[in-house]
Amino acid sequence: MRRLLPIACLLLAAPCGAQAGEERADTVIAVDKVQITAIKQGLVLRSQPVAAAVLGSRALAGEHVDAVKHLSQRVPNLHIPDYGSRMTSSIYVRGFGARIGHPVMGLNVDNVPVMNKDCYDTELSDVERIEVLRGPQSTLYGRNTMGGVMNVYTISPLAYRGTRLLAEYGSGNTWRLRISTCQRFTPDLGIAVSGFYTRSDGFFDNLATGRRCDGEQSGGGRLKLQWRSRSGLRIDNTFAFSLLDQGGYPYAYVGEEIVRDGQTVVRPGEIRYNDPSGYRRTALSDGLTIRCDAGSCSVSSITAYQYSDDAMTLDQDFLPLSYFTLRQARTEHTLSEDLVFRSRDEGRYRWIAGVFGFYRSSTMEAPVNFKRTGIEELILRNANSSPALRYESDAEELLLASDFRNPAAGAALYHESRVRLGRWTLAAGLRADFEHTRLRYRSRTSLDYTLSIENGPAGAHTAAIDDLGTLRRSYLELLPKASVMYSFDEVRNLYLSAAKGYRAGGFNTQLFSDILQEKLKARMVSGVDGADPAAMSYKPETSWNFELGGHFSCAGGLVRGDFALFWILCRNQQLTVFPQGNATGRMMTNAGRSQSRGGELSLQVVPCRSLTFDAAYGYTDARFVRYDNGQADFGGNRIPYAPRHTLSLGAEWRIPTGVDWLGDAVLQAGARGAGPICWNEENTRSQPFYLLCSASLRIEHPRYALDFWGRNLGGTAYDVFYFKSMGNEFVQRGRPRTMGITLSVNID
Amino acid sequence: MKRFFLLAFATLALTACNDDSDGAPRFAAENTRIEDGSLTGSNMHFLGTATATSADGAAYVDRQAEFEFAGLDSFTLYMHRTRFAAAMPALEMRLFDQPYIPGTGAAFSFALPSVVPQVNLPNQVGGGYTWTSLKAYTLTEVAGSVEGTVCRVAFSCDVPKLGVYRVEYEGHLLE
Repeated sequence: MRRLLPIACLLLAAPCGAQAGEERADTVIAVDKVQITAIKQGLVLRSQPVAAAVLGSRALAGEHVDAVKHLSQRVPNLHIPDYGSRMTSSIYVRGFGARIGHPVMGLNVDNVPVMNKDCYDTELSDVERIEVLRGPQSTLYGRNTMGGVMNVYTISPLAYRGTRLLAEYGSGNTWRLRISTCQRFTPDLGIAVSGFYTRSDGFFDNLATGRRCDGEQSGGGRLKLQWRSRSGLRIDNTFAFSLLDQGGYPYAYVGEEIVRDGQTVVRPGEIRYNDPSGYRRTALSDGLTIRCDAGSCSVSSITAYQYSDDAMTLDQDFLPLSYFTLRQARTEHTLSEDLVFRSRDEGRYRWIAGVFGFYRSSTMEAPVNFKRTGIEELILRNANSSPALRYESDAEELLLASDFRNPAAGAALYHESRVRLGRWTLAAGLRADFEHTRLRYRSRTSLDYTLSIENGPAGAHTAAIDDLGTLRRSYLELLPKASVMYSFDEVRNLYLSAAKGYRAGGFNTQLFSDILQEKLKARMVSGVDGADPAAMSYKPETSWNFELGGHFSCAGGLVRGDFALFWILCRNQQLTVFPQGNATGRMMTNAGRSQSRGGELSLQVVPCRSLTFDAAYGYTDARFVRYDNGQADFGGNRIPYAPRHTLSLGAEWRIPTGVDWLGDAVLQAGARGAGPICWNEENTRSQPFYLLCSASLRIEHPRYALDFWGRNLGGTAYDVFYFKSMGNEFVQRGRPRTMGITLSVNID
Repeated sequence: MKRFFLLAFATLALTACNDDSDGAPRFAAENTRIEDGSLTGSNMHFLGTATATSADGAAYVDRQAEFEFAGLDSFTLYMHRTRFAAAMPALEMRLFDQPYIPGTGAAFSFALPSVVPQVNLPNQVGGGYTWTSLKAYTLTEVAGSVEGTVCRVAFSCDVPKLGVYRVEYEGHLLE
């Protein structure tokens, strides 16, 4: 790591032959000349003090990036494990991340922020460009962008005209169909319409049902309208909707063999659960962007409405035993408005300022249904462990019902100024971000039982709980940022930056069934439930990110790249943990302090016009500095779920066939890896570093492309997720070897 | 424009703040609830660590254990939501009306060969809860002290089904 900086300086000092305008498209670092309205961030990210990766449409198509999770490891220190359902969307960057709750990375599609993390994992189609900015972007983008932000731009109907078809078939009986068309009614008015349908049988068998458990099908579409006036007014409106129906959760048991009454219930490595599991989601959104250029200033208004209605059903014990099931159904409406003022002068001083506000209405039902085995083993066995007490109940089912209303509203003011003094650029910004959130809950349950004390007569009792309550939290954060950059030329520079990041606090709705269960058990015994009100919510997480980075280019532009060294100090890091004992849920808690140090390097080498090599490597040493959860002290341990290394290697060789109707043959090979990944705070479980190899052969013609591809060709066995339920340990295996064929057709 | 934003930032900074307090327990710097070695009727709450070690050496540690002393001429020790093993249900348990040995200043101690604790249990009829003596949980070699703001308690118990445990507790006085 210490050698990285001198090497980078040497590269920076090397002669530069490439100009910004000559840069190739579709690379991790290059900038395309495309018609994109990037409102807050300029398009030439290489000339800005930020660690950024940019993928253009050809790279996205060639690498089959159909969802943001496919960017995992392609961007250094970015890890988005593919597990669970599409609700999960866990993103880890530079050692920090979140499984539930607020994300560490923001996602904007055509400048419109996706406010609900549960909707991050959706099909991406007709994407022109994806930018991944690492490090806190909270000054401009606000809450939940402390790890960075991903900007997705879809193609503009004013820049592209024609119809595109895509059909793909792959392992797991996986189909992907897409159609899109872009038309211009006038030179200033265009429309883009697209639709998609995907389905898959899945890859993992549930031995209890004898069927694949991770199949899915989804469909959706997008309608984008763009209008430009000659006087500087631009109006974009994008309406999108999607439907998803997904099977669920290929979680494999990894504990000791469980035997009941002489019969084997489950063996290590088996996926075997008896109750139905799955996830379904309906989502729609509409984003209206109005931009007006007037004089030395431009004003943009980004108005968005987002709706999602989803339901997750879980056999939460993930065993072929009738313990309990969970159904979590949520409906959410969000309205947001971002008013952005920006200078248009190309002079020494530039500025951007804005006002942001949002309102979210969210309702959720999360009933946990205990079945007979659950009542016997989780409720009665616990109560009957007391020697003098004998509890009995003949209930077949026990409903722990929890209903929530969770409205939230927020407002922010922000400003960033940039001054150019010769080769030096100084920038500073500040955002005041306020959020108020409320949780109105109702938790209820009732159990009839009998109790005998010291072999006395059994008395009949009912433990009934019906709790109503409201919790309120308000958060105000000031989010400053400062940077200084020295530019050797347009695309070669060194920068130093410091920025504060912030993730909002929230409520532990996942924990309410556990609290209710504990209250029920307490009512049956001593009557004091001892619920800890502090556990019902978690605090905001804040971090300071100090970064030294740069963008370089040498050997006449044949070698280009960027690097960053970072040091992040985090306070109140939000962690998903499994409560002690036979707990059935999970909860967010705050670690005292943690820190992450590391480096990143992205490199592209183009030795000749037909050959390209890409590499991206990230190293992160993320550890708890102070974290004592009352049971153990984890100070010095690695932060779980974030990989220490990420690596992506890729090579592309384009061979003209010389046959007009055949076009070029494109050979692509690559490998992506991540690890080691600690799975728990104790660091006793981990996934070693793994590397997945991929390759493709593509026949590429302007009118069509035919692509034969394979992923995880080495058949590497690895785990992407680990968790505990009721003290039992489970993992999700990574996807096995997959292969497929993709045909895309362009019609003018 | 700049003035507007500066003013707005300043106003926001002054008028709002996070209402999420850190919730950390506040410990007392001194103990005024024991005078000349005697309890004054003002209850004392201690928060600390209870370690229950089984006969085979396995330890169950509760680092949020809350003990409470009440009384004047005798003491009652409430062990809130106490458990000696992870598998045991959390019980409201108390050692009721026990004698103590006055110390000097804010200190007293006790040593009891055997005590039958009381557990708060549901009434067999009519609802509610009553403190009920449970012989099964009989504690032996009970010893403890309060010295200033530090409380130490130790006892042994031989609980059918659960096993033999030695429990040691050390807590600090809460404000």
